[in-house]
Amino acid sequence: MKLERELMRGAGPTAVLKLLSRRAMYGYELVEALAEQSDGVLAMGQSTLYPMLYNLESKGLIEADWRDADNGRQRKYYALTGKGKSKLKADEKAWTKLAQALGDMGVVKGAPA
Amino acid sequence: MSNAFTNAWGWSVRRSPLMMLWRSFRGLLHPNKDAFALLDAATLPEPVDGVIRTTIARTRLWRDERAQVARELIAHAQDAIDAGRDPKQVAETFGDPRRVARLLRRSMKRKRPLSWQLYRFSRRAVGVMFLVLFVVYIAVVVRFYTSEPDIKVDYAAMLNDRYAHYPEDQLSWPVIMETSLEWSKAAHVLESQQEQRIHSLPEEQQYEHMTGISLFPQVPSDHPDYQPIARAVRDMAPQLAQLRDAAARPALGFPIGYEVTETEWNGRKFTSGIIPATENDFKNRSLMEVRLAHLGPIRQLSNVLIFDARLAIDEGDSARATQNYIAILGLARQARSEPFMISELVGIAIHMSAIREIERQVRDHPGLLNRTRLIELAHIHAEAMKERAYDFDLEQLMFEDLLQRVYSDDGQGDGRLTPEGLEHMGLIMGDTADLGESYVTDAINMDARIRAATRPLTRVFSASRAEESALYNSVMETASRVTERGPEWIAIMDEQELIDAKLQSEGNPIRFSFAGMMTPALGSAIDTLFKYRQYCDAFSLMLGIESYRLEHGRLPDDLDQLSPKYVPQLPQDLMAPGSVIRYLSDQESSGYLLYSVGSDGNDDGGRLISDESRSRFSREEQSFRVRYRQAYDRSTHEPLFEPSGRPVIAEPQGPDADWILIDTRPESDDPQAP
Repeated sequence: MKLERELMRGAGPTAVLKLLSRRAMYGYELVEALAEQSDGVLAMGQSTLYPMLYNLESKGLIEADWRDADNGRQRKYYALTGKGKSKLKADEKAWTKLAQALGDMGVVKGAPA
Repeated sequence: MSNAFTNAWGWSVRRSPLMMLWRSFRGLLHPNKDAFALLDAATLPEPVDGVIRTTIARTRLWRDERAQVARELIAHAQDAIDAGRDPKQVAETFGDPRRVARLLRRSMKRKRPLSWQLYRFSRRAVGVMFLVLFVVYIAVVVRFYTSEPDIKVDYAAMLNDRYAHYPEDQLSWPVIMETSLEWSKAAHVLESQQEQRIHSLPEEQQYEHMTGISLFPQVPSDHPDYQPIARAVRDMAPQLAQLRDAAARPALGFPIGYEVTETEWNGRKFTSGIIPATENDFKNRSLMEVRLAHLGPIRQLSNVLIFDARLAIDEGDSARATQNYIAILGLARQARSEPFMISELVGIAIHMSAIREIERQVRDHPGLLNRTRLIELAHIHAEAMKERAYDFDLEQLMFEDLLQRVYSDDGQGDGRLTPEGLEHMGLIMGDTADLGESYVTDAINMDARIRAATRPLTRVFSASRAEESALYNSVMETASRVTERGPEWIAIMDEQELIDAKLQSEGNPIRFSFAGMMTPALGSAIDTLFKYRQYCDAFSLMLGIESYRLEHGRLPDDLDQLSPKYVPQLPQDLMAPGSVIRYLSDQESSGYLLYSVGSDGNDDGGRLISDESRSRFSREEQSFRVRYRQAYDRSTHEPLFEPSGRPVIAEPQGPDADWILIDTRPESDDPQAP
């Protein structure tokens, strides 16, 4: 199952920020992690991911640097900034409230009360 | 040390403005060069390489941005292939290159420097502003070209009604027109004869002689044309008798019309009447186009009466001379009773010419006027003086009439400039071609299409009909206030300043005001009115002095001897508030002088200004605008007012001389002698 575009526009950046809060990651790694950890719900191709990363970078929520990889090539790693951490916290609260409200209304089954 | 220097020098060169400019230029020429070089080096499988190249080329980003994006997409594709993905599948999951390029372009632009963001914002702002202006302009054009005036009020008919309650035999116009026609014919014959006489002179003398008719009525008795003119005037005796009767009638009664009737006689056309305006004339003709055909004949006939009075005095007939003066004052009264300001000014000029003439004859013929004549003159003079202020009603009607031709009508007394109205204004202002080539600017001679495109903007830069009406009426109200309150208020009478001040006080950004263009020169007209009042007051005083002289056989020593028997109240010197007109008598010569202190405010003992070449009405010593200049705050340059609203008057700076009102002393060789 894939999310509709509007839902993805809201959830995608938060999901990316969450992944980057654990460690710095490069583009392909993020695509794989999103698909795997969300059971494909938040899967996105590079056409969606890179514009999203550039937007987050322009807002100062993430920062990027090129590093040497094990295979001898270079990869661009993205990491969360201080501002990005604050934003993630705020997003988590908002999403929790939203899930709670939807749970209260019976839209989301098994949502935390 | 040497390496550090070389590195620093290299860094400076790489980042020098010249190199940056070069890189920008290079980027414009080959925007994909760096990105494609990376792709060449990466040697990706064909489907992946192709889709990245197409996407990069469509981003329309800067050269270094394209390289950054390419590098990241290459790394992503290599990771996918390393992870065992089929290149074909990698290419397919990439998405539509056009859409991806658009998303990448948008997101990369957000990362650009603040200066670029500001540039983009200002460029968009300017674009939006132009769009808004264009939409507003189109709206203005549509509203302008779809608006039209609605001419509803027949002001000419309203004016013609002013004589509705007068019987015909109480109106002087038919007699004036008939007498004027007769005299015009006689003058035409005299003119032809006198021109022939001039032409018969040797060529070198032709320009040394003027025809008597061109000097009329001031023709010297020794002029070769004097006698023929005197005969012609004597032949007019029956008509002049009728004219004297007509001048005593209560009103003039000339009809409002746009065309005159003409009579052809002896090879020349003469105006013989006015065709009264018909019911629908007002639709096509404005009140400004009304033919004021009474002004010429009244002036002309007052001159004939002056000349005939001189003949009468020569013949010892002072009764006829007095009747002529009375008739001139009657004509002046009738001209002034017409509501046109120009008619009032002509009436003032005629009244003044009568005063001058009587002054001259009293000087040259002491004792000319007996008690009965003096009483008759004093009576008719007082009648003519009753109308001491201008009547601005018709000026306001004229303006309202113009507004209904120039502006649209929203039914609430408001409206905007119309295309038809602009044409009408052009006719009022006159064809620019008439002004001559040097006056016609390129702006006026612009292309017809540009003119058509710019004309609607007058709607934006002009006041509305209601605003124009309010502006005009406010100036007229100020003019009425000044004429009622007296010459000390004349400082506030600057028409253009009044309009500008009102526009500024309302925060109105209007640059063009119809009222400003159409307001007559009221300040000058009001100055003339106060001069006229002063001359009339002096003339009343003169009649009182002549009455005293008849009774006592000598001139009064001072003016106090006249009041109240000969003059009810001594007239004020309008140039010196609180004091009366000055009097100097010369018992020896039986002459006397009545004068005002003039615009310098100082009594100089009746001293004339030295320059005799200027006419009396243009002299600065007689100007109330010079006498009562408003004081200004030195720091703010703002005009000063007293708490009552009265202007604070600056120290008078008029010429060091007096204003001679009446002078019956024998003519002196020294014009400055008191």
